Amino acid sequence: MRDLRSRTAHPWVRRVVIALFAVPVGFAATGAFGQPTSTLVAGGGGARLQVEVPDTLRGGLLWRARIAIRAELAMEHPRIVLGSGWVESMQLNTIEPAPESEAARGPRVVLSYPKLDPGDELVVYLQLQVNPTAFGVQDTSVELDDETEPIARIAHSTRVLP
Amino acid sequence: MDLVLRAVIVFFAIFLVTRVIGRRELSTMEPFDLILLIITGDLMQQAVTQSDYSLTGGLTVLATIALLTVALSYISFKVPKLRPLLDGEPLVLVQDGEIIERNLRRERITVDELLAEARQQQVASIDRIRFAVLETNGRISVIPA
Repeated sequence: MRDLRSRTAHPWVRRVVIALFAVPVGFAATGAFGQPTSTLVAGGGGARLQVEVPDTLRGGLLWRARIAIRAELAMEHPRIVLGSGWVESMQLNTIEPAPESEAARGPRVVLSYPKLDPGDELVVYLQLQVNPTAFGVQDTSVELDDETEPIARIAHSTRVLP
Repeated sequence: MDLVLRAVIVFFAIFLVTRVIGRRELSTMEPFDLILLIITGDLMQQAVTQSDYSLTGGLTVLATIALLTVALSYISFKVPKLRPLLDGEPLVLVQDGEIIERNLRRERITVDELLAEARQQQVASIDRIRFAVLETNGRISVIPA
């Protein structure tokens, strides 16, 4: 009897632990662990910038971002300026259409595209993969410039779960 | 969301496969069973986690599979009508020294395999068996006459 006494609590301990398993499953089912996409919009400076980007990702995941620019006024030198998080903890596999040139602006990456006339739309797709060792909050902001003049900016950060 | 969904689909796919291939394969480890086991594990891992190398993803899948296992076990315990579907039913292979050939064929068990099982349970011949039953876990219980 002495050996069996402590066994009475075991079923409840086990049930509580099993119930706790439902917590991460519930979070995952609602998309809290990635990778639902947010659509963010900014504009007002002669162009409309729209970005589709996930808020949360996990190591190793393949993901896609969509950046759409609609020019309201002519833009001689449209440039997309990506925050450092787009490349620091990611493998940037493809950019379609490819920019005319790429440059660095501090830790940020500048993608240059040809002239946009009023009413023109430029849609850029980026295919990326999260580095398996990456985690933390990454700066995935996007800025639209006409040469060096800021037109629109979307501040965004992506949480990378280990 | 997709991770949980993929884990649920793969769980039921593997459950279906193990129910369809026959219970005998569950308890033996013949070369073909080994191949099935290795290939299933490798293919299903890719189907569930795909390119996901994260700890979060792995733990989520583990928790999902654990919950499904407990849920099915609970359903089987609470709903006796579903037990044959979830766990299968014992199958009598020998009754009063008479081999039931139809049941042996159904589970692809040879008389030699049956005799080997009987010998392992200290029974020398078929006519000394009162009952030989293929249990739901794939093992054969031999009750001597």
